[in-house]
Amino acid sequence: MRATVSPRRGFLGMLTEVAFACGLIGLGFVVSWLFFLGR
Amino acid sequence: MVIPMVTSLVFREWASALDFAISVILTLLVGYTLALISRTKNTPGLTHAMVIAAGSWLIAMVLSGVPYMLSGHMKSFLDACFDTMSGYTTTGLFLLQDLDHISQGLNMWRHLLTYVGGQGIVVLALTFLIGSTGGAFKIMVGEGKEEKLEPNVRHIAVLIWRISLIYLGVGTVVLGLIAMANGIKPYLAFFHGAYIFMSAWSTGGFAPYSQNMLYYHSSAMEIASMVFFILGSFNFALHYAVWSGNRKEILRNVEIVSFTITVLTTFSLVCLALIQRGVYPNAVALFRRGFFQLISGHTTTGQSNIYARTFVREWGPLGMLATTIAMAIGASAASTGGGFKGLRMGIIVKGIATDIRKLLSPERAVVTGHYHHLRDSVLSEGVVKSAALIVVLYILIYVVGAVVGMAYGYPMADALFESVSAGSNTGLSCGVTQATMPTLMKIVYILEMWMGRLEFLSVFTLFGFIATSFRSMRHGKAAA
Amino acid sequence: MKKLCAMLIIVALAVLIAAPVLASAAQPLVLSTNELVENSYKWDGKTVSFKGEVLDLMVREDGTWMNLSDGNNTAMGVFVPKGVTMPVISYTEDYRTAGDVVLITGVFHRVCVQHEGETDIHAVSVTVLTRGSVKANPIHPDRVVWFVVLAGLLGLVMWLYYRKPGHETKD
Repeated sequence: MRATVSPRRGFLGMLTEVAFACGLIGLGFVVSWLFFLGR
Repeated sequence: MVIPMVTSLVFREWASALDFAISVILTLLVGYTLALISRTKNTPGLTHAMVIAAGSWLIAMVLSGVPYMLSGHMKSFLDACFDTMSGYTTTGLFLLQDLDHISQGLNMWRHLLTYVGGQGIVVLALTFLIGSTGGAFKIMVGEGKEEKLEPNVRHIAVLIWRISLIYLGVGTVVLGLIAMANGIKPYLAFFHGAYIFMSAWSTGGFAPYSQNMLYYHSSAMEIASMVFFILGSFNFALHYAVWSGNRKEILRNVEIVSFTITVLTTFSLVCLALIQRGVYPNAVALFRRGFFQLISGHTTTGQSNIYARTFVREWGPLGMLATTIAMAIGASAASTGGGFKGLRMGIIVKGIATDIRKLLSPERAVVTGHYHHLRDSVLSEGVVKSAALIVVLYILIYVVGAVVGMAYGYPMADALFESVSAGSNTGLSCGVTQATMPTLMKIVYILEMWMGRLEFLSVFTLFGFIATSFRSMRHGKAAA
Repeated sequence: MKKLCAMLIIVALAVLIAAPVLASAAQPLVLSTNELVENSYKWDGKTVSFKGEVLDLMVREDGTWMNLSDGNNTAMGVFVPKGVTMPVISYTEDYRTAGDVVLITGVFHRVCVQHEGETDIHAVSVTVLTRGSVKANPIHPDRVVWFVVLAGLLGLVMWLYYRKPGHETKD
């Protein structure tokens, strides 16, 4: 494990992950919205 | 057990605190007694290690049930074992009676079980499965881990705990603040925050009250929890990669890609079913109810913002089946989640694609498949085979559990849903799991949760070890 | 005179017989969580009554949420909009207290539009039936005995474990 976790990297990593999760949730909303439009 | 005891003391729940004190003493007593009678100078081999891993689960299951039994909220000792197994395997199904009236201490215990169980499993997965299973679990960053296993175990465990504890802090504060904003008294709000975080991060699915997430009547609470349980379902090696600077990995990793695709696909099926039945009046409701259950299922969390029977009475068979499939596929490898695992889905799908390419290519062309998991790897026959083998084993336990349910008269959709929920350690329930459930079903679900959690290997090793011990005992007797 | 008495008796009897019938028509059926969830389509939009122990209260901008527990692992969310009078709730559920038991009447929603699809009841009236109380919750003496006995045994086993010569060589 050559790479290290520094506080700055760790924090950015956390932000990236959280952003991904939010993005996925957002996609979910888009899908439900699209399905309702198509109804 | 000390933490719940202190919790009970803080809330002045004297009887509950005493129950935990008794449990602590009893556990220590059993531990020291066992250590006393099994002192040996031999160092444990790999087989011994696997037996210890699997066997200690059973001991933990039984001893952890003591606080439950003492609380008087269990109908039987088997029920207590069910709940502790459910906790440690981060499943989330429960047979506890009258959840709405238990002590804060017992609630702390329940949620701690999933948090600790989840972390423990990740450490186990990342250390025991390196090198074995034909390369399908090459989940470490770097090269050649076989030689120096020991220092890496400690290193791994420390990293995992560090990431999890940081998220625990962040999560408790965030969820606690949301709870407070929603009207829960401040001193309670942060306990709720801790409980829900532990439930989410460990993809356990317990909640302090029987209404699960419905208790909070808060979309903010649900969304925050969703973020945490999605993250909790990720491979810890991925967390490590992203936290150490390799942020692009999150978009390239085969598990994340697989997860995103299967989430959107199964969710589309859910939407289809719900719209066809006209269950929800608008997109917001469809999203808030439909997506939450689906993603809770797919990450094998098991938190819910609808009543269990609503699955049966409103969602209907297709909605249930889509959710069942999502649960069956499950989360990422080396995470607290269960199911087939995204890694295997990705490997199998790519394996099929590669085979098709081979068929369509000229005879002499060399076709190799690749998959990206922290680094690019070759899709060898061995890798695809082991992935497929474990998937088959999962399907086996899912089906056996479903058949047992159906044999007792439960409808197929219900029985399959619940069986997959147990075997994938999800914990969503459609109403089948009750204390009044047939005893055999409880046992089958306990076994499903256990085997699903340990991905079969440790359990098979344990049984194999017991079998060979018996055989050698018999031979020994025959010789004598 | 006799005719007047007879008429009075008949009217009284009629009132006595009719009153319960009329009263129950005014007071909707008290339903359980299980009934409402199992037959959510049937009760959707209907005015129902619900009785349960207050688990907690969450005051929000547009009203108050009450989670009412009406049985073993069953509880329903009841929303009391701002306009509806909320009686004083003395106790909410806690390990050490029994919450007030409250009777509400309101409209059941299978999927409440205001609350993004929740299964809830919007209360029209709220009455406290039974005041809550602090529960007794005593410590059982036999548990204390167990504690002492087990602690004693533990002390013994630990002493045996740590005093054995084998223990030093292990480290």
